[in-house]
Amino acid sequence: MDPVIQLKDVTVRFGNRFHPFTAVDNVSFDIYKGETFGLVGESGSGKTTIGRSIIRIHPTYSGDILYNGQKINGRISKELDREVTRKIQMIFQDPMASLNERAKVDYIVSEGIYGDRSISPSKRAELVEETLMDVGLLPEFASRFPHEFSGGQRQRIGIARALIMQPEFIIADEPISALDVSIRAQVLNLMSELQKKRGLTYLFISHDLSVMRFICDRIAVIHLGQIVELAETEKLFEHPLHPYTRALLSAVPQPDPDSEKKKVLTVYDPSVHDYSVDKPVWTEIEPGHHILANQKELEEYRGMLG
Amino acid sequence: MSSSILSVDNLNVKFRLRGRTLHAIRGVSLDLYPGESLAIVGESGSGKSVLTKTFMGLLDANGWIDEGSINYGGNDLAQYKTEKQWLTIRGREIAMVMQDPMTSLNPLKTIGAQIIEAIRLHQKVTKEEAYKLMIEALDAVGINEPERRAKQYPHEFSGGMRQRVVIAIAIACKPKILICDEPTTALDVTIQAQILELIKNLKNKLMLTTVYITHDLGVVANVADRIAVMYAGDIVEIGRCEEIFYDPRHPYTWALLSSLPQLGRKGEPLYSIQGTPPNLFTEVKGDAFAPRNPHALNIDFEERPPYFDVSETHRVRSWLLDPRAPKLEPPESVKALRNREVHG
Repeated sequence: MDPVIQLKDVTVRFGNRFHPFTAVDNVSFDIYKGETFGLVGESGSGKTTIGRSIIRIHPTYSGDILYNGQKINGRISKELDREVTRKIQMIFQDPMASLNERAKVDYIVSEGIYGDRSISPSKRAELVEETLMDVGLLPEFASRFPHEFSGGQRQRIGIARALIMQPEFIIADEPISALDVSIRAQVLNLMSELQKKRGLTYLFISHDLSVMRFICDRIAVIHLGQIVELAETEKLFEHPLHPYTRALLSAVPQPDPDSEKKKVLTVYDPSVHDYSVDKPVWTEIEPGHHILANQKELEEYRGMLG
Repeated sequence: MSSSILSVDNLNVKFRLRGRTLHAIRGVSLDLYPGESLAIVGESGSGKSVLTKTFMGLLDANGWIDEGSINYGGNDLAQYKTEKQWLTIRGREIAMVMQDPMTSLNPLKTIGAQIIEAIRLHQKVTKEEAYKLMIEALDAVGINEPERRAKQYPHEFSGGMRQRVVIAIAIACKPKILICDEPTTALDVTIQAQILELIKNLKNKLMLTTVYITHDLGVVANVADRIAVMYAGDIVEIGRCEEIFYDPRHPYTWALLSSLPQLGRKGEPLYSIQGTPPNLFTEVKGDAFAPRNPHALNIDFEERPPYFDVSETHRVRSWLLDPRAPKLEPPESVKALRNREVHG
């Protein structure tokens, strides 16, 4: 399988020379074509920053981000920049805040192709119509304003705006956290349907593991800017190794009163790691299952895997 | 069962909006028992927030109680008119924790000052006593170094910590009922679990009666004793937590449960409820859920169903429970839940 996106030792820093703040610390992973890759972590863990660095909003401090084998961070040519902003699209969290209230749906959806001279106005209208139908909206919605729509419909508009660019890779940053349970299901279904139809690759960013388990093929757990564990979804749920992953899993609410009332919350305490001498390294502990741990911990984790 | 602490009878709430009348709560009856925790679950627009706002006189100016009564401690809250009357209830007897801790605190005042303000509004205490109560409240919600933290401003607190402060304000006046309106929707999963745990502990320690409002059935399994499912301004099913999860009877409850990603199977589309909730500007005829209900009977479009008792604690408003109705099997995912086949 070919990776669409590759991150190699990416570090993102904010602040200035005297007060640097490392939001993303030496992160490496590959996202393969056609998969849904999940990035899970608390707020402030840097998951959104990673997404934004891929789409070139935040400059990286060090490391490489490759798109189909081509380096896309740092200085790149204009042509490549144009291609990247076309082929990589984003879906945002809050559909109430991410749509321009003063623009009609027609403009919102087609804003990305407005500057493109090769697309005539009539062709553009056609594309908008097509895309709206693809996301389950009616073509006549094009002449309406965002406030006329419900939360679920607005999120569909947000998806349509990404789709019209014919992207290859979509970064979905908490696309359903602001939605009701019933609408959540509709948006998730739409996303997986579009993925099948168009062969899209998703980076799905969320703090909610129950949704992640349902939609993601592989999940990376990020804590304070470092990825602590990465594995296939079911493997991660069956054998969570890192204590932070285990704490995160224990916090997922289950719709089952019997097991919920017996549940013991695991709280992650970073001081369980003794990294003073033995430094942690990013290791593949079993095929496809990566973890950040030092030698002593690796030993323990191997024991847990059996 | 013991006698209720708050009793709502046939409550109807209406709003006037652009010359039209919106019937937001359509005849809700509900008893709240001392020391229990009740969860009200429903989609946005189902009236779950409006219902609890009537308990505290917090309806918007264009809304009013059209019919019905809210009995609390021998008084009918539905008849309360003046702010002075409401101040004997609001904060003192019934307190509320709002959804978004980012917006419910004043950014210009220190945390301590905001809690003291709430305390001195409701209790006749000196400044020194109020300060002591404030420190106690901060301590009770698990904020370390309360003396130092009290001098800080909301922006110096994280989301979870801010929600703790909001809870501290709510419990500072020792209310009997605590209403939590989507207390964790704006928070991370790990913080969510901690806040729910905190509210649960406070409830036991302070003998509170708690009411949770949420749209996510997934989060209430842990905290609720009883669950009321609301749809279109009406309680369509109410029962003990176990009854709602393991033996739900209303098709809307089935739909809500089936649309949880926890119950979905990977690779298959997740169940989603078709259509939209009814327009409450026009009177709803029959069962409000009928147009979206794949199992709707003819009578659902004609006549509003009464409540059918499943057990002493479990009531359902659906014609499906009528002895004449055809027997219907709940969807697979709901059955899986009943047979405890959900992966944990």
